[in-house]
Amino acid sequence: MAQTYRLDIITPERQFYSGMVEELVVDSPRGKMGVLAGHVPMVAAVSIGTIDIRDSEGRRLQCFTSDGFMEIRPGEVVVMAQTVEWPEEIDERRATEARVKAEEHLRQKHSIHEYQIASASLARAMARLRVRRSVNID
Amino acid sequence: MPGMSETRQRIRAIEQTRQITRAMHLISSVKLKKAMERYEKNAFYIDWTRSIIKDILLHLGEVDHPFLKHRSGDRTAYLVIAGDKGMAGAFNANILNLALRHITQTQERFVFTVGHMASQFFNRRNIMVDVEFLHTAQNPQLFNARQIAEVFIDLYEQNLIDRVYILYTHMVSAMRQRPRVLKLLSLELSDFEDVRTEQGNFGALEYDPDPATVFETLVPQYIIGAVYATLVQSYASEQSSRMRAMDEATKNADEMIERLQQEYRRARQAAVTEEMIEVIGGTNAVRRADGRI
Repeated sequence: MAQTYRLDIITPERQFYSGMVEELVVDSPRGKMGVLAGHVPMVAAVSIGTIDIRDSEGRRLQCFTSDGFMEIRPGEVVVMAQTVEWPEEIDERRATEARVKAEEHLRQKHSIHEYQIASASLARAMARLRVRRSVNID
Repeated sequence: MPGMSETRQRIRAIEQTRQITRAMHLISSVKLKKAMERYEKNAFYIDWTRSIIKDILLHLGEVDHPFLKHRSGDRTAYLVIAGDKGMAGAFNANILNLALRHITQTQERFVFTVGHMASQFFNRRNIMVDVEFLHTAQNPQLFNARQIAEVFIDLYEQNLIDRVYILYTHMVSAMRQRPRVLKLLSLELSDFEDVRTEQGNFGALEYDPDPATVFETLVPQYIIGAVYATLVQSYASEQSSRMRAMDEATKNADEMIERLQQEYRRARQAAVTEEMIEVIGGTNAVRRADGRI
């Protein structure tokens, strides 16, 4: 059996997840990043996307995350993000609407700042839909 | 001595007030319970973020980031968090008086307020309120915090302000609150003295992709988290103060009703006695007229 470590996922509004896991995969600015037990201590940026967890009983869990960061300590990982949601908590229609709105915003050329806001909200909408749909197919 | 009907009316009026204060007491105790739950969840997050930021600050001599740079100017932004309503004991007065003391120390100031009581307070004293964040004090949500944080980050990045302070009511415990000043920007190690770190236990941290990028994403998140934390704590403090104030008011009403009821009973007794005297006097007069005495 693979070694496990303690994972906590927390947001300003709630303690989202807490438990023993074998593996954690997050989206980082440089692509997917996996963490197994015994990882070197590190602070890493987490991008908008999905978090995949394989817990100590071998179950696979997936959730949506907005941008955040994580701290890897010996035997323990803490992920901190603004919002993290389980697939069943995602409102698909709202996410679709947000996607349409963000795409519309991106088409109308605004300032750099507005562009950044719109592309971030598009990324969030796409990630939410991805998490939501991957569960529907299962 | 007031008449019977007058006393009865006063009793009725106080009973009505008592019903209101009792209802407000119940409402705020329910709200306080919810607010405390949110506060506890948030405290966990904010403690972690603060400890990580301190870790990074401790090990990050060379990173040159605008958020870290102490600016020598005097342009200060204040975010004053009070309630939308009064009737919460000294809650509003405490935080607003502290705010006034701080704000009047600086010449170039920008005042941001949360809660009607704060705006009214400054308007009465002819202090200009630059931005009023509406609909935030009564049920602070994360997106309120995000909006507020973005305003400050924007102003700071455009070099329009030199530092940001939040004046809020800190939850010491469910029953004890204290108005407090929190420095939001720029970030300095000295502001994190109360934070414990566990980092020393396992040597140097690595950063992915690099310290500057991590810091770049971490700081705005910390600021949003900190604004949210102060909003939630102020909200919980307000509910707690109101709960106590209304409990006190209900007790006072009980006392007053008790006193008035005594007064009423006395007045009633006096009226009865008087009537009896009149009746007896009348009977005696009749008897006397009949020549029986």
